[in-house]
Amino acid sequence: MALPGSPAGRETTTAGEPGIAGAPRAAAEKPGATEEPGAAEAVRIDLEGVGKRYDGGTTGVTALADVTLRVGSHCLLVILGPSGCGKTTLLNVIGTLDTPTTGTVRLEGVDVTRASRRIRREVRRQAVSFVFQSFNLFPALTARENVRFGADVAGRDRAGDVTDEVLVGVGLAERATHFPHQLSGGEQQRVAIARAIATGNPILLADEPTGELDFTTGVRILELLRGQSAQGRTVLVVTHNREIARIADRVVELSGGRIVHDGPPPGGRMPVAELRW
Amino acid sequence: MKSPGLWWRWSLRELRQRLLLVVAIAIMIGLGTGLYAGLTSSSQWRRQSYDASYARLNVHDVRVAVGAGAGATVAQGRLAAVVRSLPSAAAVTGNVERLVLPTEIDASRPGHTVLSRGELVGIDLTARPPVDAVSVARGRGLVPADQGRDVGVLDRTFALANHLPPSGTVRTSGGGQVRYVGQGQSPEYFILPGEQPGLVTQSGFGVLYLSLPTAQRLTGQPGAVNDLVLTLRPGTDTGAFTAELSQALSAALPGTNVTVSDRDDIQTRRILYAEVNSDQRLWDVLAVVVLIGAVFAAFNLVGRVVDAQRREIGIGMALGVPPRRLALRPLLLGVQVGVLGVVAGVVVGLIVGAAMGALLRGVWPLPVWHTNFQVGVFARAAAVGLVLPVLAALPPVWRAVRVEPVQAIRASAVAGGSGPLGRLRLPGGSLAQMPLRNLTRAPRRLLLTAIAIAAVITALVVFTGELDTFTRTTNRAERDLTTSAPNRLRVILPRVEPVSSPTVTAVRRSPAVTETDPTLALPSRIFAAAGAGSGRGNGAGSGRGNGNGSDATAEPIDVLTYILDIGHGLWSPSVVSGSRTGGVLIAEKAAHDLGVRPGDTITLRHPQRVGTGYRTVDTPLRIAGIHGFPVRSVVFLDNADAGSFRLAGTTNVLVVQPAPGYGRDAATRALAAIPGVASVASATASIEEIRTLLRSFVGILRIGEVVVLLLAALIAYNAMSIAVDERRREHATMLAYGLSTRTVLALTVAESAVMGLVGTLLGIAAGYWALRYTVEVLLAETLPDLGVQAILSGRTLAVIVLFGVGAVAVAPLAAARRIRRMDVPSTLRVIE
Repeated sequence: MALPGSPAGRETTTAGEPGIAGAPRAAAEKPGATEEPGAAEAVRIDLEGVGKRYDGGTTGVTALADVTLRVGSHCLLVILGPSGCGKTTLLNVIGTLDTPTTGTVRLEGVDVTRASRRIRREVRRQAVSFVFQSFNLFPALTARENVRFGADVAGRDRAGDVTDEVLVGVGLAERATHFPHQLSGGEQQRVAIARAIATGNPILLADEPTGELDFTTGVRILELLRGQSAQGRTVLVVTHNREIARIADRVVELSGGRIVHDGPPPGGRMPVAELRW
Repeated sequence: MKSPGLWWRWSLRELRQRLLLVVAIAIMIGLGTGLYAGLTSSSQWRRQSYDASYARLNVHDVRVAVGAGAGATVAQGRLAAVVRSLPSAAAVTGNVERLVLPTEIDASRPGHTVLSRGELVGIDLTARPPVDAVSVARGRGLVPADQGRDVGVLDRTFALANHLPPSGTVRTSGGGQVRYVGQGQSPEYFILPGEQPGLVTQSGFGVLYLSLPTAQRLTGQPGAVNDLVLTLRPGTDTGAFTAELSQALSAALPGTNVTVSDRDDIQTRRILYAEVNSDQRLWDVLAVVVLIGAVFAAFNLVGRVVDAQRREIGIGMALGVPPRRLALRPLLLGVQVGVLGVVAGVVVGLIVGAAMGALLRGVWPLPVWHTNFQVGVFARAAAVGLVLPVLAALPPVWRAVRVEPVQAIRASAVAGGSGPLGRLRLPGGSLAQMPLRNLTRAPRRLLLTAIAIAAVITALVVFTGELDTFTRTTNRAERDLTTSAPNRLRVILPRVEPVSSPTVTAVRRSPAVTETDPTLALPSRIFAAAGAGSGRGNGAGSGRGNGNGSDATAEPIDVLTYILDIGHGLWSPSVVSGSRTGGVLIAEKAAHDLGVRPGDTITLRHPQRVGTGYRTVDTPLRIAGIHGFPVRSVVFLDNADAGSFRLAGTTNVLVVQPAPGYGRDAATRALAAIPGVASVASATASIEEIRTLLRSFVGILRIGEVVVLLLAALIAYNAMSIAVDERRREHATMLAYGLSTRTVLALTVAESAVMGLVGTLLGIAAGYWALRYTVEVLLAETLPDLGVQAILSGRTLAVIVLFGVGAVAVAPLAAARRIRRMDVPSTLRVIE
């Protein structure tokens, strides 16, 4: 199914994809497009002068101000900043859960700034997937069914096979029939990531994905996310933890709703195994 | 307690946040308790109103009737003279001589035909104090100046049922014409007797109250009376007085058939009071069924609201707050719901009470109606309404404070189990699994909600099932009466006459008829002959018997025995079992109550002609079959089997077929004008009597139906509202993954539909059982003369399933706006 207004339609098959079956069906698969691992030619996320202001009667709050950002594939981008700096607002705007007050948002070449509710919904089904701090798994569904939900919503073929392969990929094949409340916090978050991966969407948005987890479990989650960017996905991780930013390809730091730093992590990218916090 | 103000403010803020839900639950409780209070008030209202009405009109203590329907009279003053001659005459505080005779009442106006059988009641207007006075509701009453004038007062119930104006003109049998100047009632006619024993009517029996001289002149019996009513000084031994009076009358009026009866023998009065208790049992059952529905729903919903506070309770526990203080806030919620429920209950109770009052006034238009607020009944209902929500809050609080704080805080703690139900798998993807899984993950919640829906559906099945049963019963009766010659009329004679009498001859020769069937309709009584047959048990009404063999101890049944030429006349009764001839045909209900079946023998106590008079004899008769008419007091006997009556060649009811060109009204009018004809009735007059008998039930059932429908809608709305609240994060996740609001709603609708289906199926099963109990046990006591069988029509069943599943299923649509406007990011970021 084609993303409304996108330059090209999307493949819905994952046959022959490298890595786990949830690997993104992205611009690289589009006719005429070229994309190599590590390259950032295809801009998936394109924000131009984005601002967001919340009006509350006589007072207002500026959550984002003049944010300009371009992100390609094969990228793990960490959005860093203290509480209230606008990190989550930025993620929500990129994920089309929120609309900017000013500026333009393009996802995979499609302008979604003023897109209708239907188009924004379609973008979420076909382009972006979420991983939440509090997991938000469906308590009535097993781990496998929660992951299958991602594949189903995105309308993927062979959703059952995709689900099983993704579960193996996140190391939860043995826990597939367990319900969320029977899983540990780390396992629940891996299921949540697997659900996002199973959509096959090229952009993965993770809001404080390790916020509720201990260090060791957090590291496993970050390894998973790192792996996704290596496979071609664009992974955005929101965090206030500077240590996590060290594994990123790129770090965007916000303060008062503005980007105050955009570049590689200070001191260069560090392997996940070397993280300490 | 420290900072009570804080807890109170906290609780009030929560009340504001949940106001709509709390009010909805309160209204639900109010509907249950209000209907309970309204229905249970009616018995007290009726009893008080009956007492007051009879007292106001100075109902007689003793009545003397001459001739007992045979048309005999005595000279005016004779009966009063006998009373004056009694040694106990000083005990008499009032006595009034009357002339009471059957007539045809023609109150037709242009474009509105009203032709009914009825009675003329001639009253001595000069007698003081009046006994069995006439209370006038519209127009004016009769005054001494009306003595001898052609003015009268028309019965109010009859006038209301036939939509007659406050004053007008009526014609009586024999061509009399009277201007009625008002509408009123007298104690013996608070309800109007049906032609059939045990049945009542409203539009089919007109009573015209006249001065005694007027009645004497209209009936061609100057100076004659046939009735005396009198009142006795309080404390008088009525039994002894009656015996003394009977003896004196026998001596004073030898050869005259005189009946002396007391107040307790007034049949309509007996029916009124007997109905109060038996009706009340039925209403109590229905009220309790509805109350149980409301109780379960409130219990479930308050419990779920409190469950939602479980995390906060866990946080409180973690902070070291004592459990009893933690329990305070949820219990305050229960109190708030309870107080609002009591207020709602009083309001609903007043509304139901007003509707009940209006209904009772319409069904029994008595001179006095007390429908005041029944404090005791309301207090009982209010106590239930107040205590219930607090009780409902206790289990979830108890569960929450018993676990470790960390368990209470965890979101998964309310996620429910993963037992066998939780692993049910349907074909299809994850979305297809979700509705059923959401239900089965919390079986306790599913069960409680399903029971709440089931309880309301149970009430709905009972209410609509009873209406079905009534409709089917009257339709069956109508069908039975119209199998042949549906336009036939019954010409009723005031006494048994030879078939060659002038009146019968005049009817035969009337151009208004083409065919005439002389028949007999005679008051009789049937009872089981000892040891007869092997019946199936006695009826609920008799309250005796062991169910094996006929019950000679079962109460006898007053019947009207119709003697006709079965199989050859204009119309013959249908037979549901046995054969048409070779014995008596009785109703299924009579057979049930007497514990007999075709082939058994019963005893028929009936009049037997002896010379020019009659005596009462008991005749054993074989039951040839069971007829299809659903009224217990109807008995048919073929001419060939009626030898014991010794009435061959006589008649008192002529069944006639109107001639072509004569409509029913024209033929009725022509026949009623024939001298000697008492009244003319249509073949289906009994149907109106059955409908009248059921009218109060139908009215109250309709009120109950409205309350139950409201209750069901509220339960559906509340359950949905809470469910949407509980699922808001799941819905937000779905929306974040790109599902449309419509899909999210569809999943919720599917979940609700399954819940509604489970509840509805449970409710139908329980409802059918309750329907059978109310109809076959309670109604059998309330309406002993009507043979009713519990019926739930396919149409009603379909409507109930559609309603039960539909109302619950579509309830989430009310939350469409809430889901569409959901702040997805905020909802998703709630940290557990």
